[in-house]
Amino acid sequence: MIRILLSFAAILGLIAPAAAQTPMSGEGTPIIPTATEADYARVVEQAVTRYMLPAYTSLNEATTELAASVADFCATPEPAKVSAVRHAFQSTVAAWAGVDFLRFGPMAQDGRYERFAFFPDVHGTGARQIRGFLVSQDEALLKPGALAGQSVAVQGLPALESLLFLGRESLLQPAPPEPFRCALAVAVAKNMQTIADEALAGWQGDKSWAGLIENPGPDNPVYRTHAEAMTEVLKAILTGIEQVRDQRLTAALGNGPDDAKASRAPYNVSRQALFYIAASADALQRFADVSGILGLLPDSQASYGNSADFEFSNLKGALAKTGADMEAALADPQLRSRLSYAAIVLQSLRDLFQRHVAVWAGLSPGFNSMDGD
Amino acid sequence: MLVDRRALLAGAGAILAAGLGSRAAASLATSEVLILAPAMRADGSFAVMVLGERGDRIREIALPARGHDIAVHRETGRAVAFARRPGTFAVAFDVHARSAPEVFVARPDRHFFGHGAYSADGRLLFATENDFAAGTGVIGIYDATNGYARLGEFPTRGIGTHEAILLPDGKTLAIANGGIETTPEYGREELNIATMDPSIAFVDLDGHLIAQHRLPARYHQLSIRHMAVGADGKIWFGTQWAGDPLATPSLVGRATQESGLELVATPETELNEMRRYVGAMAASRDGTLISASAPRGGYVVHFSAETGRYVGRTPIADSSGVTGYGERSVLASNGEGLMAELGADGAENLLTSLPGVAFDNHLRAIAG
Repeated sequence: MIRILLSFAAILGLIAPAAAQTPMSGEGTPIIPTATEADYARVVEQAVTRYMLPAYTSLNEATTELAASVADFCATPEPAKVSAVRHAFQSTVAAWAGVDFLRFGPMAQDGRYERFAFFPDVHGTGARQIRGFLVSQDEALLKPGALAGQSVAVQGLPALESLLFLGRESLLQPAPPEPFRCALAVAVAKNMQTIADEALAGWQGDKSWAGLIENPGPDNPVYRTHAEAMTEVLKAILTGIEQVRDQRLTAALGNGPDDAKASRAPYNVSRQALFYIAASADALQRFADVSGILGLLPDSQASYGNSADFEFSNLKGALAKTGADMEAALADPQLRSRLSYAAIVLQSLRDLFQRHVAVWAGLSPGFNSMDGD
Repeated sequence: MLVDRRALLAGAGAILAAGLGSRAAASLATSEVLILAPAMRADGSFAVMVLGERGDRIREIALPARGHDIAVHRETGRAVAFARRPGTFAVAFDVHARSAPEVFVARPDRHFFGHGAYSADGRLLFATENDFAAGTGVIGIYDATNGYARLGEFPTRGIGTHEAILLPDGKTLAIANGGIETTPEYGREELNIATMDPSIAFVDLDGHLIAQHRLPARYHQLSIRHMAVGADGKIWFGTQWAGDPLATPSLVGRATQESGLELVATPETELNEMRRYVGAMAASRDGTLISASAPRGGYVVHFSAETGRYVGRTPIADSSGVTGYGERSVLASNGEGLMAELGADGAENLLTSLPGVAFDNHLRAIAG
């Protein structure tokens, strides 16, 4: 059936990454990207030094403060210390929103991502196991490192949230905290601090992920070229937008008013769901800004940068006017419509980055390689 | 095989190709092979593109959203294109355009995983589906002779089921349980990476479990997704690694009902450049060439079913669809509108290049 066999070398040019034809924009103009490997290298380096390192440092600081404040509260429970724990918890939620769209790097190793924040827990594994722990009062769980061997569902932020905020026995209420529950919260917070320490360390130094992503080449196990490393940065933006929209916002909005459910959003137990979503939007804008990804577009296409700014400010504007409580926002037609609008803006942002920014930057996130099937 | 098809066409010419232009009808009538490829068209809409053996466009069957794979039954000409997960539509059509396409949908509490297979006589369709309330896979059974009415279902014995194929005995389904749980409430978010338990289950057509095999526990994050059958009847499977991004487990393996699963060694550099992800598996028509697409690495990687070893690779950016084509060749497509016939010896024959078209994850070729 192979009738005409072209030589391997001859056809290589036809099916190698350099596409056979010049892609055309929707308006019919040929797309001729101007970015070079050096440009990609610069943007990746900026993403690492101006975003990844500060963001993982923030997570590290927030979890350090969190572990200390929970330990302090549990050592000598005083009502005055409740606000310190609340504050540290909220800072950790914000810091997590700053990195949880970066699905690569040290956080993707050793199950750290899931261990730090297992969400969504659709089968209620975390709640069930924590109830079991509270009944058994097994002191072995409190030993240093012991939680790391347990289910990911009991190791991180959602588990700590339920211990601190959920139900009649929650720790942050006027009644004195139950000692084992408090000790378990200390163990969870310490476990989160350990994970955040490891994640930050994994980004620092020559042999770190910073070294990997900034020094592509034939022997690099993850990135062959600066364009591939740059595609990782672009994919993080696309993943982040999709994650906020599909897995946080739209999940809570459901198929309509009767189907809306605040509990489907993360950090709703602590009434931080909208705060977290706003923090995610803010993080994505900062990531796009400080990396300078929009600077990869040819000068003639600089208006896409303005479009991104415009959409991000629409998004943040809508989210700023939804109140603090997801449940109340979903119950109020006007507030709910702002959330629906935010979901639409997120879709526009995704289209902007995927269909315009990516192609004009000369990057191909891949129709099938992004597919995940 | 090819002669049979010509005879069929000569006898049934009058009712064939209803509604097609004369050139398309001529292509449909004379092409020895029809290629069925779900794709995104230049305007962003989705369709199954039907191409002739020279890559000529014969017709397009519109899809309401992104498609995934197509189940085909050669003798009856029946075919069904499935929605990409977590989609709920399937579009049934006649390969020879003798009837209008018809759409059917999954039960409200199920969605399609994107793959399916016909029974040997073409009367039943088996589709992989997600029972997302329970978080487990099922095989939905449909009556192809009665508007694809759903007749029932049976469990796949796993989570995140992906491809299911009918084995050459005509009596057994091999089912790849990828192990990754998802639920439509949360889009494509992966819910259980820490506790994945992928497997291949062998079941009879009534759903009775014959055997189920797993890789050693250290590979529990190797999601088994796609399969193709080699000349000796062994199943070749392709996987996607959900574990440590710096680990390099083998991504392709062999399975039999009796002896279980084994991974096949791939040279270190080539393995690493597959980027821990196989998108599709195919066997040449004689079953000697096994090909695995690696879209993230930008290759199609070839193995010999006879020796069980790696034999070479073809660079294709954003590769994905790969299917049996010639006796000793496969057909590969990519997200940039390219389609090429590949041989293990590095032979390549470009069939078509369609600017603006993105061929989707899978494609099928059907001889007459």
